[in-house]
Amino acid sequence: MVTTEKRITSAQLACIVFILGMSLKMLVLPVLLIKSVWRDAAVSIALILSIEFVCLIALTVAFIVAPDERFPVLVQKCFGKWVAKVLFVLFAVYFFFKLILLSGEVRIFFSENLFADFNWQAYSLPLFALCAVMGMGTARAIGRTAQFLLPCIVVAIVVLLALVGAGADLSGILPFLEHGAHNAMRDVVRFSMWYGDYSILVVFLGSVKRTKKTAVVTVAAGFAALLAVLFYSVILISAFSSVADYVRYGQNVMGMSPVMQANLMQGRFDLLFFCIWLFSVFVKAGVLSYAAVTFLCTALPVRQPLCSLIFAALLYFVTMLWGSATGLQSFMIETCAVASFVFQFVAPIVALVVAFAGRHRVKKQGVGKVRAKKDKKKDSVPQAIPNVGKEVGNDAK
Amino acid sequence: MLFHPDMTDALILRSVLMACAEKCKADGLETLLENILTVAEAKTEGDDSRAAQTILDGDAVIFLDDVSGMIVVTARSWDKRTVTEPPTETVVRGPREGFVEDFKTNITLVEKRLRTRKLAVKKCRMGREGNTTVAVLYIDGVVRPDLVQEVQRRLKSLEIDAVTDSHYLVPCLEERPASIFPQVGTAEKPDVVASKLLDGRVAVIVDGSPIVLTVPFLLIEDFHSGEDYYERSGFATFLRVLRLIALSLAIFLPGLYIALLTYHYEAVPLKLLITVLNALKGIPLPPIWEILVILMLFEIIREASIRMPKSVGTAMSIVGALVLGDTAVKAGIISSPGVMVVALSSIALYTVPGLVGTTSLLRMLFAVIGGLGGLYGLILAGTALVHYLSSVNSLGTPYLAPFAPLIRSDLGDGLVRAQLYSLTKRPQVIGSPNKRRLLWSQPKKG
Repeated sequence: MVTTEKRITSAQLACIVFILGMSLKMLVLPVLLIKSVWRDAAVSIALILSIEFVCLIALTVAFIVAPDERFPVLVQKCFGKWVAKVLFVLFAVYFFFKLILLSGEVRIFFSENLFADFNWQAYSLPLFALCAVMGMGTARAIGRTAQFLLPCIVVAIVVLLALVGAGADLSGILPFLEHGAHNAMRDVVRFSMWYGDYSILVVFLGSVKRTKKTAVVTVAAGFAALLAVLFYSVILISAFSSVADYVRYGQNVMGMSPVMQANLMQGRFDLLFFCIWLFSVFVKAGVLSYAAVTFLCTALPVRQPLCSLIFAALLYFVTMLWGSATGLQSFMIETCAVASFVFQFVAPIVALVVAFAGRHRVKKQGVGKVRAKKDKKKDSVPQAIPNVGKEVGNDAK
Repeated sequence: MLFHPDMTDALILRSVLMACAEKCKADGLETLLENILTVAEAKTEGDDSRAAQTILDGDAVIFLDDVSGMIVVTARSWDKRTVTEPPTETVVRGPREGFVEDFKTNITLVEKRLRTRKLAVKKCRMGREGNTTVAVLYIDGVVRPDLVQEVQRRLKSLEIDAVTDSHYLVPCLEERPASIFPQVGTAEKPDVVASKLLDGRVAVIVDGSPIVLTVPFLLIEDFHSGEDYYERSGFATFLRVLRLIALSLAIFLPGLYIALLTYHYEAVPLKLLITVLNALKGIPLPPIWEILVILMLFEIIREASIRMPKSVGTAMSIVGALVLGDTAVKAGIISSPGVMVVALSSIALYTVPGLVGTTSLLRMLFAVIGGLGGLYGLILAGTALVHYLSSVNSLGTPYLAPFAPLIRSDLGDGLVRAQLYSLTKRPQVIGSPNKRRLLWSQPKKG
């Protein structure tokens, strides 16, 4: 039987990091922040990106420390079966709500920018079907998808940033903290559901082929995503912060580029590029779905395809509870904000703890193994070595 | 002497009979064989039970009284097509030989190009009733042993009445037989098969089929042509990029046209939009139905012109393209931009012949999606398509390689075709144990 590599490569991990790092944060978040704190949104964005970057570094350390064992296995060994189950369900719920938010953002974006009549009941079905399909897939397929689409996404983002950046006057973001630091800090917590995306990476722990460059490329991808979001947000804020009341939800790159171009005779080719960029949002939806389904399957005795289908159906019905996307946004800000703010730190902390605990265990067993070998040589009597072989192994399926 | 009267060469049989007559009383098979060998290709065979199959293969068998075993005389003779240029892989430069239906000729065509003892030809019989000869070809030391074993295992696992063509074996070599994407390569030219064997792939030749199968197969191979390697690298690269653009146009253009005209007028430049809207004035069908009707018309005309006799086929094309299309536009049933979009998409379809069927289905699907979901639907469907392709493997080899997973050393023969001598290593994705393909010490400039 021909064997195939089940793990993702470092390059694929970097692609996923880049996509997670910039997709949702460029869709509607900058507009929401402008509406809330005007030009201080730049400070909020900078804080948000810093927090995320720190979380990414923590997770990268976990990837380096525990390259071989998968996250569910590590958590079970570290905290026990039942604590692990509770933790997995919590992770799945967190990702579930992030997906709900993502679907709401997609709804706002398309209804504001591209469709005169965007029937969400019908149009959300294909999005959740994609979630179901990607949820029942493998980490390898998701990694490849991200890697294949990344060049298109990068080209689109570069073109869009060039379009909007060409006529930008960046002095519009000054003065900093016009309304005080408190408001900017408050919004970092209020809009916490819109970021903390790197916590999804825990699902890939132990499923990455570690090389010397893994840490560097992962952090570099995160930094590139950070720069893209920051650059884009700064342009948007400098352009619209003075007229924040008039900014529509769809007034992001889609609304900005024609203003900057000021020539509609050439057509809105920026719109096509933006749609190409939207690949990243849909890939992120797939990654979220995959992560949630994986954790649910580990916690509950349900097979992955069935679990993915139920998960997608549940997503659809829960999303339909909110008649408008603004209602959904209010729910995320008022109800989920604090929990989400805390939880985004839980993922990297848990990952670090279980990774170091796992390494400690392996080292301990390694010492035990050497001792056992020495004893074996001495006594020529075979001795049992507990758990050796279970700990270190390629369990990337 | 026993033989099949319809499948044997009478001249050979007559010579063999005369040679036998000269030696009226043979001591045994070996002495008789010496006589026969002077006039025909022959060998002794100890197993009498294989006589019936040997006769059905077109050979003659000779038995002696009270002697076990038999002599098998190669006397098979039937009409066969001469080696010509295959219609699906025509080239301007490069060899024009193509495989034919004769098994031995096909094997010889490959062996002629790879005169090495390492070329392994493992024959087996397949089909309960057909007893077709199937050969698995590979180069020992270049191919991964587990790959050969896997191919042989899969072939052995198939129980079928008859293998009338190599395409009957395709599903058993694929990991997803129901997929619309081919996961097994097909080639009609021996030079192409030889180069794929040198990459570390395995070829399967079936008696009676001019199509040779190669595995593992990557999507990018559909964008390659045998001629690429006989052109300058720059031009070959240009052609490959052109094929990719053409394929993208073939799949997405009708859907994009529908999406833009149904939901996203603002994306179309103003002057172009006015021209298109003028052309659409008075058309009774909405863009989605109009394009679907034209696509269906095209598919019907294409299918009819392939099946019809050649003389009628030409007339059919004229009636279809000129009379039907032109009249429909003039009558105001369909618009000229719609016809143009479908025509461009259909021409682009044939730049990648290996994916014509797949692309035809996909563009229909994307046209419907573009009509129902606009750009939102197209991007979602595009993501789903890429995810699907990402999950496909061909005998353990990633289908989207060398792009996903990214294999830098293989990019030289991916979409780009690097200078031939810079392709020093075999494709890493195939996993050949013998990595080096060539070594060239470039002479110093004097």
